[in-house]
Amino acid sequence: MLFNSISFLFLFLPVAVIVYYIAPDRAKNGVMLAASILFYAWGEPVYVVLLVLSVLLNYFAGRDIGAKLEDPRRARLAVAFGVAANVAILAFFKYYGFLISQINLLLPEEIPYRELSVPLGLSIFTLQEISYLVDVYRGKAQVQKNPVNFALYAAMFPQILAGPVVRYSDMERQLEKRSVTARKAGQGAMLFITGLAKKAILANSLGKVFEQVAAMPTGSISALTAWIGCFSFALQIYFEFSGWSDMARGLARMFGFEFRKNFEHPYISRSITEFWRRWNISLVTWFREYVYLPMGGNRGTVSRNIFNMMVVWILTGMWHGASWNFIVWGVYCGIILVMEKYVWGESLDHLPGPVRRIYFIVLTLVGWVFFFSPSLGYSLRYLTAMIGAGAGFVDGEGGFLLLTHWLLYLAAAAAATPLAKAFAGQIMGISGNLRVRTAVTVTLYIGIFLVSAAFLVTDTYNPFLFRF
Amino acid sequence: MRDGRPGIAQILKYILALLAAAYIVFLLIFAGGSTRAFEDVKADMSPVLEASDMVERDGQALKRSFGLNSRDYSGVMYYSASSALSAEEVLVIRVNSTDQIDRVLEAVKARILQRTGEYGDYLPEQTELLEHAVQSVRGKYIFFAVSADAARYRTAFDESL
Repeated sequence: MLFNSISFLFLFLPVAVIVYYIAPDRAKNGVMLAASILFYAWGEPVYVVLLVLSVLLNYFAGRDIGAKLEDPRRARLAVAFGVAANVAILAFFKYYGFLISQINLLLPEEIPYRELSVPLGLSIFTLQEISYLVDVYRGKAQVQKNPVNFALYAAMFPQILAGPVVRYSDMERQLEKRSVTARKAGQGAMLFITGLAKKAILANSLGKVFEQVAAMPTGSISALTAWIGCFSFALQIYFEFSGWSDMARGLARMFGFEFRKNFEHPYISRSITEFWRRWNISLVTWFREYVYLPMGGNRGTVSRNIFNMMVVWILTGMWHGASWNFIVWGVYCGIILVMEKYVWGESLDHLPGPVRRIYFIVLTLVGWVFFFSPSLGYSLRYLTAMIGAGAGFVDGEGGFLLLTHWLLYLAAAAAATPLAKAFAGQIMGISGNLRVRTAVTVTLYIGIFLVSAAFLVTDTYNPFLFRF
Repeated sequence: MRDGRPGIAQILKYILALLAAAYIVFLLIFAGGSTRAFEDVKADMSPVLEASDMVERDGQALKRSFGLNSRDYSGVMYYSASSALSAEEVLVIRVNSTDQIDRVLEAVKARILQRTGEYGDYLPEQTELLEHAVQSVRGKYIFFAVSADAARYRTAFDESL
């Protein structure tokens, strides 16, 4: 069951909200946990057992760490075990098939192996559970003795499938006490509808253009078509990720929880460094807190810092998927970040704004080529097409795509900047009268919801682009 | 931890870690996929399916029936009844990546709904077959059968992996 499915929108969510609001405050966590387990089991009836085992394992691991905090050595061993157990489960599901397939390439006789699909949300709830264990160890959070509260943090349905990755220290107080008001529910609904529109209208439409380009042999793609394809993907992935994040944040707010913003208009950045302060902020923050800083961060020598940065970015690439193109993408991002920090960052600051934006856009789009390519060979062929070595610089296909989708690109480009929010704000603030403003706002969002639902009905299948 | 003895939390975390590992092994054995080539799986299953009244279908039929493009997957085997009055069909697909699994399962679900609507009350025995459709995901292999012999076809599928 996905957020943008009819069964979720018109069955699961209304029932969950009604039961939650009717329930007394002391039962609300239990109600939401039950809804979350049901939500997960609907999509993963086999792996819901693994989710429950993982949650219980981490609950008791956290209590064990808490019991040993006065003995630093024992506490360190306890947290190491907890982190290792989580990483082992994650690494097994995500990477063991990839690892064996790579070894098989080198062997005369292949090692046969059994494959298992990756449990939905494994990457999300594993990172969150690690966050809890480390926060308890560091003293940044208290041990959660209530198993329902802990399970709710780990398995909460708004964010278990596709994030954001919520740190335990951000949730700790909210699990005990939060306000559930009609105003917050309304704000949550608005945010959810915004995210739904991003996914159903923009991301899906852009995805169709990208699929058309990706289906063409790379040798027959002109530079124009290749850049259109890449540009379409760049916008698609932004609206996918940010749309799902908005839906998650909106749902959470309906239930009284506040998640931090996960995307801050990343495409208005003027450097890759700035981009990564605006893109998937929760994931980048997680890697900084729990990988980069424990490795030493930027303390120590320059070479050590570069090493730390590259390790983080290789892991970030691998987190997105088990294939060489994701690893190369991670290395690519890491190298540019190192360069901006130690080589040309200061020079970049002195360049005119338009030049910086072109620099940023070109480097980002090139990076996305590695991200969307099914193989390294394909990415190199695609990049070659982008410089005109495929089917020349301009062709009819590229012209046709531009002519038939210019309005989509205009709308998407505007929606990717603060312009869209400002425009919506102008419409909603059109009158000084509160009732009129409320009516306009409600009408606007109902309209957006209905249009999104119409797009969903005509698109029979609407997955999230990635399976985390 | 008191008096050097492990606390209850420590014991339980080890037990749960073992349980998680055991569950993963259980899944590997009973729900794990196979790296066997699709052609080998097809060769093992074909005699069983050829002995039925079903006919092997091509990519166009797959597109019409499920909305799936056969070239998107590394292997497709689709059999369906020769008569439109029968809901009997068997589909085996090997996906290229696990990201494609949900797409196929959604297509199967939509197919069941569509055919249930078509047969409705006119052919209740076919509707009952659809209600008892068998599905299985084993790694990158997806199996779907609507048939009175669905369990037998499922066994053939499991044994072929």
